[in-house]
Amino acid sequence: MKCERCGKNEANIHMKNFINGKVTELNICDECAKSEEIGLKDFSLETLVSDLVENFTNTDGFKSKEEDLKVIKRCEKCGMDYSEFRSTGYLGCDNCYSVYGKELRNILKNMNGSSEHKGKMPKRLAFKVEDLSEIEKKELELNKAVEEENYERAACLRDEIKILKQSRKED
Amino acid sequence: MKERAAVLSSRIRLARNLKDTRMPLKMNEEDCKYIRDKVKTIILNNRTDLEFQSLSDISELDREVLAEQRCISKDLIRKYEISSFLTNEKKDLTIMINEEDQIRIQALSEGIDIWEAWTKANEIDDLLDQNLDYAYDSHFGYLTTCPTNTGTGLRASIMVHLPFLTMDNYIEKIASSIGRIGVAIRGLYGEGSESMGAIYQISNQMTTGESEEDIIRKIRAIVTQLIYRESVSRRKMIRNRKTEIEDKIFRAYGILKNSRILDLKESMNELSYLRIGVILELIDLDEKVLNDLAVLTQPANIKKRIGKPSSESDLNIKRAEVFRNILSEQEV
Repeated sequence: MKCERCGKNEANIHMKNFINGKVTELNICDECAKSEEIGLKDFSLETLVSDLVENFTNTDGFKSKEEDLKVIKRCEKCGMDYSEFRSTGYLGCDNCYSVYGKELRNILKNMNGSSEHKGKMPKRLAFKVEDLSEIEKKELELNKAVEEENYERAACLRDEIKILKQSRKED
Repeated sequence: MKERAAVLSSRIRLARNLKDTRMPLKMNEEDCKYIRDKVKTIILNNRTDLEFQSLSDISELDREVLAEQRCISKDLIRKYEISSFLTNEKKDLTIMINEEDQIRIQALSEGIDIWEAWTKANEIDDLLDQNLDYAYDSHFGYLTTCPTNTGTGLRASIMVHLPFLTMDNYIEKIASSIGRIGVAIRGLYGEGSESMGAIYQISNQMTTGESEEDIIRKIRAIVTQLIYRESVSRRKMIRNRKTEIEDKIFRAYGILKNSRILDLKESMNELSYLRIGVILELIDLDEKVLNDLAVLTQPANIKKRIGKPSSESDLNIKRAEVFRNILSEQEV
């Protein structure tokens, strides 16, 4: 399909504009979209369609134009803006995952049923988690000790937890 | 019955990026060099079995040859100006640098032994992890350029030969049923749903919500199921059309052993029948020979053998020669 504005390039941005319940379509190329800043001014971001991302991010249902304009986002670190993210479906850096965290949770939840990672993790983090679980373990033990009215043991555990928490802060 | 010849190979791929850096989509030249030097240094300092190569130092043909051998990806070639890789002599362990992600670790193993591939890839992953900071989020897991890899960053795939399920028009049904549990089946060669040579790749689509072990276990279990169903299909077909199938197998053997001109499509289809012959133990060939033939007779590998610019018909003549030579060597 050729671009409806310049008629030269291949149209790779397909937009639908919802106005008062009416749908109008526009199929244009990247250049025309850039030069006219379409998508920011004329259209709600929710309807700036890239085939891939659209299916994944539209889980919130239909949003009003005003609402969408508030969520124009841009990653400060790599310059990835919302329309680029939506049209490519790609991220530019690790910070993008914070900027587009909500959208990505939806995308992944739709694709995989869960957006949560369940596998291995970097060693540097795994070490800290071990620490954390150590505290949790001791806290559980503490609860049990209190229940059993073993106050001597509870006091020991309380001190141990305190030390562990302190060492975590120092890390 | 030599069922194991129905599984060609297993592959593990891990996608990784570094913390506080731009991913390839937003990288500049300096970023590319930084990643390359960092990964290269760590690997070369710790592994003597891996060698470094920049794609810009390799000819276009050699790049294609490496892709056909599945040592590097087509995506890496597309970015040959900035990309590089480290690989071992057997080319079954590769670290690609500045592909779609900064780091792609790939390990291959023969047959259904996908755990071996996982061990090899995981070792490299641990080595890099000890020496650099990966981009990782406690919720999302390993962060990647495309959200379809986020989480484990793992793609586990097994290549299988399913000629009877293909003849039964069963592949589409399988695709939709395993698709529901996040597993994809893809024709390896050829376009669209029609796979050349009935070779398919079974791989996971989901990278979040499941651990690496769960993903690998699932892919392996599905492949085992598929091989079983294929054997049921095969038995059924042989019951009804035994002579016809045997005829096709021996004709294929005859063609591959004697032709003077062979195009890619014909050779892949005949190779598929030859593989059936090996599974049925009608033809005595090691499955490794079949797997080698599938790679060595791909276009770039044939061009490389000719060693000079050549036309399509030159390639077809050379391809026939390669088949003749390798198959007659086996008879001795």
